[in-house]
Amino acid sequence: MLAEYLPILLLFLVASAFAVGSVAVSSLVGPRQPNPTKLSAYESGNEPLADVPGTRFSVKFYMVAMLFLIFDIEAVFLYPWALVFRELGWFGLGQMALFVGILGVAFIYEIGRGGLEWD
Amino acid sequence: MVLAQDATTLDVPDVAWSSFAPELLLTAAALVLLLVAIARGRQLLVAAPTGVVAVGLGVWLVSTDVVVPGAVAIVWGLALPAAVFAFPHRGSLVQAWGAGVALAGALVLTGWQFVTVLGDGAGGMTPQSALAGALANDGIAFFTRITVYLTALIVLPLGYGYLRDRRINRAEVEPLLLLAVVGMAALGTANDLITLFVALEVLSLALYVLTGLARRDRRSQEASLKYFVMGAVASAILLYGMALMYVATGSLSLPTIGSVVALAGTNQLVSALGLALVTVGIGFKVALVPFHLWTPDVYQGAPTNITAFMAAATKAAGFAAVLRLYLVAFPGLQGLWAPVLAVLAAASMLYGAYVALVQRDLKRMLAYSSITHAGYATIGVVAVTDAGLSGTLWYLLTYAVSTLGAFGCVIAIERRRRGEVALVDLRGLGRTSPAVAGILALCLLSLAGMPPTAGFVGKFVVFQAGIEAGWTWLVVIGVLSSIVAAFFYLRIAGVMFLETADDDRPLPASSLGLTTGIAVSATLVVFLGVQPQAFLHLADAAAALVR
Amino acid sequence: MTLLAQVAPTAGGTAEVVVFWVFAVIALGSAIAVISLRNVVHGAVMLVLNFLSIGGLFLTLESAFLSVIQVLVYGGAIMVLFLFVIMLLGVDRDDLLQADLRTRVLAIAGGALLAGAVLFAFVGPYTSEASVCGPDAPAPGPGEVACAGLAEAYDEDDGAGARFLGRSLFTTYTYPFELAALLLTVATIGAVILARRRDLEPEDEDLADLDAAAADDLDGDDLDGASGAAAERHVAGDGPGTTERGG
Repeated sequence: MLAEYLPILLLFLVASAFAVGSVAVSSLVGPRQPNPTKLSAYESGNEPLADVPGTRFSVKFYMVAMLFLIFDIEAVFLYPWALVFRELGWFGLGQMALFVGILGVAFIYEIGRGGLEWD
Repeated sequence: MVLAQDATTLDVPDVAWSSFAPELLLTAAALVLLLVAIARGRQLLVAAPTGVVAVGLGVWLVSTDVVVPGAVAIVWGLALPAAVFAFPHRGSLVQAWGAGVALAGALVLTGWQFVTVLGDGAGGMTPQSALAGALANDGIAFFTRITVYLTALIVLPLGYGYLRDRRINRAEVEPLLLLAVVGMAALGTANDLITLFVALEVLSLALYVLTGLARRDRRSQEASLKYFVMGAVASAILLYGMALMYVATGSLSLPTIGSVVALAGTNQLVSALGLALVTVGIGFKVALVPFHLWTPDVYQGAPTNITAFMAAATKAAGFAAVLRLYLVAFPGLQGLWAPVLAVLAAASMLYGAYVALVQRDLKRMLAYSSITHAGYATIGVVAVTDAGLSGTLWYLLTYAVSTLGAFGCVIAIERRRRGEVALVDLRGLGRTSPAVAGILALCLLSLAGMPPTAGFVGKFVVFQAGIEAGWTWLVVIGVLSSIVAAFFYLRIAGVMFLETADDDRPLPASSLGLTTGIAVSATLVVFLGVQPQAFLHLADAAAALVR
Repeated sequence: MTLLAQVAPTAGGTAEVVVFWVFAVIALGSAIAVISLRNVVHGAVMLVLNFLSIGGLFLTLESAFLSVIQVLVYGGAIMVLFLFVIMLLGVDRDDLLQADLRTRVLAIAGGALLAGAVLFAFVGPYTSEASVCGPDAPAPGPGEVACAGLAEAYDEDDGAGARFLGRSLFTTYTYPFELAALLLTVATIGAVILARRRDLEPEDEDLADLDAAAADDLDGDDLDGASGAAAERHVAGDGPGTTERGG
């Protein structure tokens, strides 16, 4: 059974070997002539201030990600449903229609409340 | 069509619509109200088509001789547009009426279910399992529905003016409340572990959001976060326990687990461990003692109407799951779990009563009282008898009406004070506003279990079941804790009636909704205390389970 | 583990055992790393590793569908959420990780208790007992139910487990499936309400208006509409989320 996944394993191995190899080879082969100007961080010509909390993200990203996740899970349910769709017949169709319908209301609500507006 | 040419067709379950008709109505109402919430000025655009569809459905149902659900659909379909017409620029009133009519309809449907499906004509119940066994329509389901729907119906008017005073953005309150109610009712009917878990999550998630609704109040935010984080951990533990149960028994269906768990081949240690972990998860929701840590903070921080709803309805739904889990799936391991649960019950009763003694804040005190009451309700579970089962179901109903009345009075006092209600704020309330003070005293007496109230009958039934099952020491502890609690409740009454008021204490606010809500709960407290026979009979009949 | 292995067809050879151990060691090691690394971002990366190796464990259980879902949903979407939260709070906030000694001892004791109980249940003197679903299980007596779930799952050989999932999800578990839609709806509402942006300044005249209205008439109009939005904006001013500039 697991033998089917051997190509995937090989792919992983090749990919990681390539990633590690590229870094290793470039650091081994490439010429290195560091000087202070090259090593300093560049920020519009000025020295960067030490502790600016500039790495924070807005909560807006989080909300988009959370909403994405909710509808991602909806999509996850669709896959096994599609596989057995013919066996289920109308019952399955109605079931998924109800499911998508409920989430559709949630989606309309989200748009109406401005959940997808950036500003 | 592709649909026609399939060779193998699965056995799809029969959809017994009647078995979840109340939840269906509430779900539809919640979704429509969600759309109303965003419609702003164009509410009729949502309400009119909904009304047409609902009335059409109702007429069709009536024409096919399903009269009661048809009538409910017609009434709700007419009520929503009517509310939109009656209150053109008051979205929240439309919401409240829409939700209220839906909840009343759900109560009617529950009664209809009892008459047509559950009842056997002689006052007993014939339990039925539906939707491929995912759902059990029996005594636990019936009583949980009654308690939860009634609670939500009373909470709606209680909270209406209060939320407005606190400037809580309230367009989503009613839909969330209805969805929480659906989750609770589904928890009461859940007959397999997956349904149980999903239902528990629906109600929990809705409650997390409702708790944090007061955005200008840091304590509400803190309560929400605390409830969420601890609740998520509890859910994870619960899920782990369910996995262990499945490993040991190979089934997710509670009746199947019940028939497998005592077999020789079953790894009883694994299933007992699973049960222990599931108990942690549900014990958290019903606030049994070692898992109660969130209760005081969350009860205090949440908007008071949400606290009332949490105390009354979540407890009923959580205990429905506890009852089903222990009495349907694990009666075989009774020797293992009953002593443990008895210790938890004793600890809850003693600890809750003891700590309530030293509380200064009324909401916090009621939170500890709710921990105590979780202990009392557990007595009926450890009895593992039909009397214990019906006793617990009945107890939850009496606790719900008493605690609703008490929280209603807290809301009345809190609305004018615009802040926490401490014990000293109650001084002289008996003179300045005797009605509120009287009802608060009545509900507290009921919580303490004094004779002419619902609480007395509740405690009596549960204690009786406990003694019959041989748990005398537990009942003795219960009586002791009642005495301790009674002392505190009487002290509050003393503060209200015997001490004199400071001059500038604001009077409790009253509004039509608040008055109605408090009056209804007080009436129920007295009615269930004086005339309990009809309901007690129902509770006895409710001991029929899907096994 | 024992019980699952008992149910599994014994056809799987040493390769499966090796793969299982590799993923198990990675899963455990990365889980320990998540809770012990000081840098939250490193911890998050370790969590990805943990999710991936659990996906691998699903693979050894011949449930390729679950494995892929694990990687997509957990390794992908949920990890993005984690990283957003970390970035929201700021990567340099290692003070969030401080725990006093008492908490630490309690946490370790609780974890040890749970792990010990599970280990005892599985590897204790009960290991030799077959589960109801195991090959050594006694035949069910009259009126008793034999093993229900696991055996069926292993009979399925097509669709990488997804077909079996679909069959049971859309027949036996119809009701919880529809409830799951409600769960996602509640989650949507919660996300929209609780994570709504809070970067606007309060508008005082609206609030004063509201106060007057509230004092006049307790049963008056509610906070829907523009004034409601203003009240909410006021919250933003003193809320904890005002530090999100410069993102």
